[in-house]
Amino acid sequence: MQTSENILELKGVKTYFSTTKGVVKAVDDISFSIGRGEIVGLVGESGSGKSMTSLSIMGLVPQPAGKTVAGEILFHGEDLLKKNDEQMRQIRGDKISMILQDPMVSLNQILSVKYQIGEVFRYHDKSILGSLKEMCIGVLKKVKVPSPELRVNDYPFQFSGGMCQRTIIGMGIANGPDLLIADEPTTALDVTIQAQVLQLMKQVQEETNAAILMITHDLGTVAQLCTRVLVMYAGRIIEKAPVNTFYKNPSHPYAIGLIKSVPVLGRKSDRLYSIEGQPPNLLNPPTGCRFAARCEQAMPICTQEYPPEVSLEADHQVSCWLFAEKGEQ
Amino acid sequence: MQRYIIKRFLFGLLTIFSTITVVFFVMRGLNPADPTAIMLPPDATPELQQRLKVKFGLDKPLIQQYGIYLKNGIVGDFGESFRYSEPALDLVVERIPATLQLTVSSLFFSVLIGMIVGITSGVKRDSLFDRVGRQLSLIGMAVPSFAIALFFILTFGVMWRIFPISGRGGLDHFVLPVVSMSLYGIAAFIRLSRSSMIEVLKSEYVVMAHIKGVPKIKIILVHALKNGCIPVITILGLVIPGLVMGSVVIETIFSWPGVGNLVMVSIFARDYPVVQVIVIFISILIVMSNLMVDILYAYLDPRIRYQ
Amino acid sequence: MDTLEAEGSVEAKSRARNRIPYIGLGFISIFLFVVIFGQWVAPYDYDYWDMANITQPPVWLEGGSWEHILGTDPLGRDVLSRIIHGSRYSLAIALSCIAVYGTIGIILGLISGFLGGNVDMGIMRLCDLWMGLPPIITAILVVSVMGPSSLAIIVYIGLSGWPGYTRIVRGETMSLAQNDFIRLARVAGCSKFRIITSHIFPNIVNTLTILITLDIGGLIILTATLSFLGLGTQPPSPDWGLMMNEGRQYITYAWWLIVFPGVAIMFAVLGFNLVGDWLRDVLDPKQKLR
Ligand SMILES: Nc1ncnc2c1ncn2[C@@H]1O[C@H](COP(=O)(O)OP(=O)(O)OP(=O)(O)O)[C@@H](O)[C@H]1O
Ligand SMILES: [Mg+2]
Repeated sequence: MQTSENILELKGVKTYFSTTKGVVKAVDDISFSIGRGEIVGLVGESGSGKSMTSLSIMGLVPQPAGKTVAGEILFHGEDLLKKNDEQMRQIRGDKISMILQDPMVSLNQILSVKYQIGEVFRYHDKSILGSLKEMCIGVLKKVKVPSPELRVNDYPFQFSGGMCQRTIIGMGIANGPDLLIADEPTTALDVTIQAQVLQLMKQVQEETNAAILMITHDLGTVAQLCTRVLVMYAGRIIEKAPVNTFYKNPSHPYAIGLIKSVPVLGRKSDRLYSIEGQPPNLLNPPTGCRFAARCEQAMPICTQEYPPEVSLEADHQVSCWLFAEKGEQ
Repeated sequence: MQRYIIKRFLFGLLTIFSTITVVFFVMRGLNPADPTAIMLPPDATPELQQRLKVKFGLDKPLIQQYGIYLKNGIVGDFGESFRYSEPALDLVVERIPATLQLTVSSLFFSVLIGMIVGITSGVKRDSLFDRVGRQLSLIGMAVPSFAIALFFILTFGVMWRIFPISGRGGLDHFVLPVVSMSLYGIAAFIRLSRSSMIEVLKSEYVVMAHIKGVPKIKIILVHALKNGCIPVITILGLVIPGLVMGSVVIETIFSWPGVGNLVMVSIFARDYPVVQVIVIFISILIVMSNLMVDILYAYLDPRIRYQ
Repeated sequence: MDTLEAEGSVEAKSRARNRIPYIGLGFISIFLFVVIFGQWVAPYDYDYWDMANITQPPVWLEGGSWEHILGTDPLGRDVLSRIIHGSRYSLAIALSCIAVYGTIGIILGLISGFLGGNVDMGIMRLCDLWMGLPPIITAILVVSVMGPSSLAIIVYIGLSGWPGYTRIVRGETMSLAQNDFIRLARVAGCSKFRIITSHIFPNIVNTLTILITLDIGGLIILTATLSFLGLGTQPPSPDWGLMMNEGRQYITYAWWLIVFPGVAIMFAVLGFNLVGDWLRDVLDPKQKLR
């Protein structure tokens, strides 16, 4: 789809959990790619498999219940799924990084900030420029934590939530990664801090030219930050589009619903649009389109067969029978 | 940090003092039996009994006895044993080393073995090692230490005659008492450190450490171990009083010449001065170990250190 | 990753559901059967002296007989019958202890959690103080004053066990008191007493079930230990700990006097511990009570 400049490409990735009740298909046959320096948004309801997608890329799907059972995850053309633990460890924190949702619990409360930043360098054979401490101070400086020389000796419980998340972002970009995955980096923060953190991420991206996979619930963030959007529903990607196209011309009924449910300043409406019904259970998902049960335009075929991915434009794909050939008959 | 330790220390002193007071009044005030009646033959005359009471200062009002007790106690005079006519303090002090040897070494083994096995189980959850360890620790927690001790005496002492079964002497005398005293603790620490390890390994900061590319062994040794130790240390404070109880049982069974042995004899003989000194010893021991736990705690957890 | 955690606990719960502790339930059933029907099942009275057959080994050893399957002690008392009768003592003493400290602990916990404020602070301080008093010292005191007896054990354990219950019940009550239905009941003008008895108490029954089941095993061990030391039940009662104490002096030639009561303790405790652990996993999947 994208050119040779793709740094990450997922092809038919499936991540399943085996539970006593059966197999939970958290990520089911998803494919997408991210180009160098691109910021791609991944949106979808809670439980749709966004975090599992990112953990699959990191090779950190919760063991032993979960496993990536099929597909390819090509990073610079090499399949990450074929790498062994040590190779993956060396990539993590160096070439690929990730930021988690809740900064207050993502840092170990009883180890100093200095130690925890230092880990990023210590385990990646970095030639230490100056002392480790100075490098840590440099990280804090870059993400604008005030008086980094003093704060570097602190413990995370002495930091505010925003400062913790800045620190985590700092750790994420410390080694100049090619890909940064941000899993709802602002959800746990105050509204005022949210804007600052997003601002920081954008700035960081411009400086380092890292590609970012931005996972979020918030379409506002997507509009502000991203170049492209992936919409996920019940373990599958149902629409991929550039941000402008997505806002102007969403195609999948679920995506249309999503856009309609965003409150727009100035538009007068007494009630926000919301999509009826519940997302399906990922344990024994329905055959056919997973959104069919909630879809106002559902046709008989929708419940029988999963729709193929259709290209509407060069970089706009949708999986919906409304646009596929068989569906029109 | 220093203030924290000093505060805990003062609190400990208060505990010791209030224990002494409570014990004094309960034992001498509420106690229905007259210790002189036990010391004398049944046909002793009331005069003789009265003379004995005067000798031990039991004829004065209780509050006055308490005053005298405290005053003498400050200079290390805790009265004379009713039974052995020897200073109660000497009687107890002489036996302290034996008891400490027993309790300290079984605490050491309980914590060391329990944590090593428990942490390994937690890290290798559901492996064969974990499953076997879990079953053994369940059984270990179902058998009282006196039963284990008797079982060891039966097998290693009576049937095979490998180890001596009573008294204190060479290293071989240690084996059965220490092992029987440690097993319950080992089992308890296995369960505790296992579940604490599992809990910690699920936490977000461990995922974060993986994301940073920290090697697994470092994650376990630095992140998980340090955090996982906190609940274990909390429990340590609760285990130590239990250890004192354990030493009473084990010393009685193996005729170990320690404080635990003495306390049983003294209770049945109503030898209050000795019982009181032992109570003081126990509370000092417990206060000191709690203090040590507090210090360890502060060392591990900066949230306490920076209070 | 909230979903992850929630799934994890659902997982633990369903795993626990599937792994019913048949072994533990089996042990408990046998134990309870023996407790209830012991009088009719036991071949002899616990204090019946068969002077013709003293210190007889179990049936499978030379000199044993079917009359005394697990052998007899030096007074000719049947070991099996004494173990069977002893089960009643174990359970009765353990339950009495729980009744005493459970009642104190639950009432104080409910009051503390529901009323809050100064009352709460006072009760919590009392808990701290009480827990500061080393249990072995309480035991020494109680026995010195009351003399050794099963009542002394119940008084001692009853007096020292309550703070744990108070703390847990207080915590549960506090979080329940935040719930809408309790607030509604308050607004509707229910009396405090009624709210506590008909709204809060039924909701902590789960927690209490777990706590009590988990406690019984430990209490059987503790009371047996105290009896073994001669601080509890006195002869000729067939308490398991006491039996082992009496058997101790014959250890060189009558091992069955200590092994069988010991095995009985182990199975009973194991039963309660297994079922207690399982109950905790099923009823308390988030494992607050750990
Ligand atoms: N350990 C597990 N066992 C079984 N199923 C799991 C497990 N972890 C996650 N899942 C399933 O995977 C699905 C996807 O979870 P994921 O955390 O990726 O959702 P998400 O899109 O990130 O949601 P949120 O927006 O709430 O973070 C969930 O529906 C859940 O049922
Ligand atoms: Mg998520």
